[in-house]
Amino acid sequence: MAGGQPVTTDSKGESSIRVRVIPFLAAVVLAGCNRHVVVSPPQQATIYYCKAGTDELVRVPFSADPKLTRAALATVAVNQLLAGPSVGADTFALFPRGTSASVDVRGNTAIVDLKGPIERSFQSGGSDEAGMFKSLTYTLTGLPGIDRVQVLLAGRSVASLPGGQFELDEPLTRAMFAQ
Amino acid sequence: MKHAARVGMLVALLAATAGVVQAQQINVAAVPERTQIYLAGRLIGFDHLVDVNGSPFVAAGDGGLQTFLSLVGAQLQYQPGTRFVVCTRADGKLVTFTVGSNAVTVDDASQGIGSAPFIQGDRLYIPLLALSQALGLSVRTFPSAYAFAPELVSVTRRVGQRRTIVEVQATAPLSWHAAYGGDRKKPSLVLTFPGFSNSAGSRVSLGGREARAATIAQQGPPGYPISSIAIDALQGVKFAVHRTSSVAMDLVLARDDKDLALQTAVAPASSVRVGPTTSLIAQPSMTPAPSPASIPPSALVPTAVPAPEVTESNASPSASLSPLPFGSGASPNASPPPLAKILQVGETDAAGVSRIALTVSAPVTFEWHRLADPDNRFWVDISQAELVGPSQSLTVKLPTIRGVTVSQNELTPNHVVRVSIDPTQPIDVNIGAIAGSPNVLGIDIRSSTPAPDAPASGVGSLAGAIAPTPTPIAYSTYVPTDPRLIVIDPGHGGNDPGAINEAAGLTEKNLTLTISKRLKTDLQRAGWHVALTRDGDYEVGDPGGNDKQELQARCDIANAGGARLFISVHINASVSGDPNGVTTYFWRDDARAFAGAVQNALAAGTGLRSDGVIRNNFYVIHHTMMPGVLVEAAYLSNSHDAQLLAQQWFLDRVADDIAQGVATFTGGPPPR
Repeated sequence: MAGGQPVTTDSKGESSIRVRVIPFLAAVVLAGCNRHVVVSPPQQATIYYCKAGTDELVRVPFSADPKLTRAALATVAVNQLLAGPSVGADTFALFPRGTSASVDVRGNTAIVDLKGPIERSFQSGGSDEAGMFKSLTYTLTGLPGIDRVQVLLAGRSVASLPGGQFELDEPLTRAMFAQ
Repeated sequence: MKHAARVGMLVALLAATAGVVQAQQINVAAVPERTQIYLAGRLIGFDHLVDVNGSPFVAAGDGGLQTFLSLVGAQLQYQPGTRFVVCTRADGKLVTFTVGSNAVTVDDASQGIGSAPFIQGDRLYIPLLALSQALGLSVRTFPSAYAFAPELVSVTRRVGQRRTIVEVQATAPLSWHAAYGGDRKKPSLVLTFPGFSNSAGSRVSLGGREARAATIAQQGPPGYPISSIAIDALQGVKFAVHRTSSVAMDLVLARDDKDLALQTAVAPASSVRVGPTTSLIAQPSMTPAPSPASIPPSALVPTAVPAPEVTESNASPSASLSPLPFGSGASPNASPPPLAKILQVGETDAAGVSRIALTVSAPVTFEWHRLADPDNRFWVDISQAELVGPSQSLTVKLPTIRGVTVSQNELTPNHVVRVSIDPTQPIDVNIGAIAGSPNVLGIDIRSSTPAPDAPASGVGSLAGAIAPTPTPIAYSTYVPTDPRLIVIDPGHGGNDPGAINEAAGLTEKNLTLTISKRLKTDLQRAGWHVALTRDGDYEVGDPGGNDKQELQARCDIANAGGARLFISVHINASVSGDPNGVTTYFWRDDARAFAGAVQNALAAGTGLRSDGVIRNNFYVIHHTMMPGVLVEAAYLSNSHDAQLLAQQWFLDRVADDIAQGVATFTGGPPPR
């Protein structure tokens, strides 16, 4: 309660509280007017999209709420990757439509749990599959303190996507995509 | 009534009838500390196991019981404070116990049991033998152990117009190994079911059109039975194995690929029961399992060859009971042990004795089996082991041995390395650690007839092996044992169609098979030996296996064959209709030039856009030991490419171009 006053039910008591609260609020407002408003800058991330049919990455800068934790920022970035960019999404959104992700960060490893249509038989070919995981790896390892990406499917470690070819049972690093 | 509804009603009934139930007048005692419970060869640890009138009872919430049931596809539902326990199995079998009642209900039928479930303290105890019996597990009792095993319940023949189906039913989720043998004139298949018992050997007539009969048998020690179904088919017959439920499978025999698919349009013709539906509880006086590595002492080797040291794992036949091949003392929830590597395989001969020496990187367990005269074959399976390098065929000096092979028998969850000995007459074998070499497993072979009562199988371990940080042999040291062999892997197959273009009526798994068959012909014409990982529409690994097992099974074929090259054939596809062209992937640097040669030939021959040579970690080119490439030949998702893929001449073109790339890279097969 404002002013730390006990609540009373008699009319006299209510009047007493109101009288003391108004000066208090006024003091708070006046004090605020004398301060500089500090706005934290947004966190910056880079989403790396891969162009379908190639292993070429396209960088798109991304701003996020400064209050996000590292894991939350990683989750936001990955879901932005899954959704595709605002322009040319049909060329860059390689993950099956409807796929969702949550990301946990342990040490220098981001653990990405993919769910949704991606759990079913993978219908694209090797180029999309490799592009998906290359873009995922580059996006996450572009965040501070993350060097490796472990992919889970519905909470389970898997050797590959169902019907897929790309090996997933060990953490991915940028070096694995070096030509 | 639906199964779920039945279970739900039962659970509700349990809650409604909750109450305090006093134990009957029973004689409860802790089980002897040495009493061990095994299921399909696995030691299960229980926290709350008691002895009631000489029979084991276990608490409903015991973690060991949960492990035990999960291994047979079942689970327990019990609400503390109630007097009912419901056990359900994945295929719908329903078992219920009631505190104080000397009856168990299995589905809708009631059966008598010796002692009733009871409550002691805050725990409800149920009879383990009765529960296992209700679930169709066989039980062998020993002085200090119980060995349970699921059973093959029935093998049934069904006939169709152009095919025969062998239907197999079991009492637990089925897992099997398939070994295909013979040739086109006499194809054969042996399905092996590790851990499954089968109370008596039997035979099922298969009518004589696709095959005459299936032979069902059981081998292995009592604690770890291994059942098998063997079929020698007639000329031109092919096999396909389909899982039809968690506890059932269909084996289809037909001459035409299109008749191998799983269907349900045939009626039962004849059947034979293989063992009872209810399990048999053996008498305690039953013969115990053979002791580990119980090759008779008469098999001691001459002094010219250092005799294997008789270690704890290589005890004499008079050693104490050891019904289990694996994991003695293991925690029930322990993760599988790390793989031991078989680093080196050697062979030496002395007067009358040939020794196979396997250098291992860590302790290993093994089991051995011999077939009776006149077959006489003998094999040793080393569990949780990985053979470094390709399969090896050894020639020993003993004239009575046709040959010895050491290979990765990979289509198993246990990663088995098998040493197979093919004799012309009975042999004696001794297995154990070699004195002074704790990391070498010695297998000594003599040409002599074993004692009439010599066991047909046994188990053991090389427990004293030191496990230093293993030094993996670099892939660059790979030397093909068959330098004329190329393995072609038609991508996808069976229940994995790969990419699909519905409008064009094209499926990747069919296109890759067509290209691969043509490529096989091309390469054979050039003088290569060629093996396909699949030659029909089926999974290469266990149909019920996971993706890793499926991909690894394809690698195993190339690795076990000691191939010179590996080529995985795929058709590309994308979420976008724009991408088009051909791409060749490689992983290790020893395949970069190979990939370049194939890609250049493909781009030039097909006239399609070259998307280049790209390094990527695709499983099959990572886990094969020889230079390997994964070819993505055109895009099913691109209308122009799809039009080409619909035409036979184009598929032939792709195959011919890959063959040209092989020729460019290798200069042709080595001279004979």
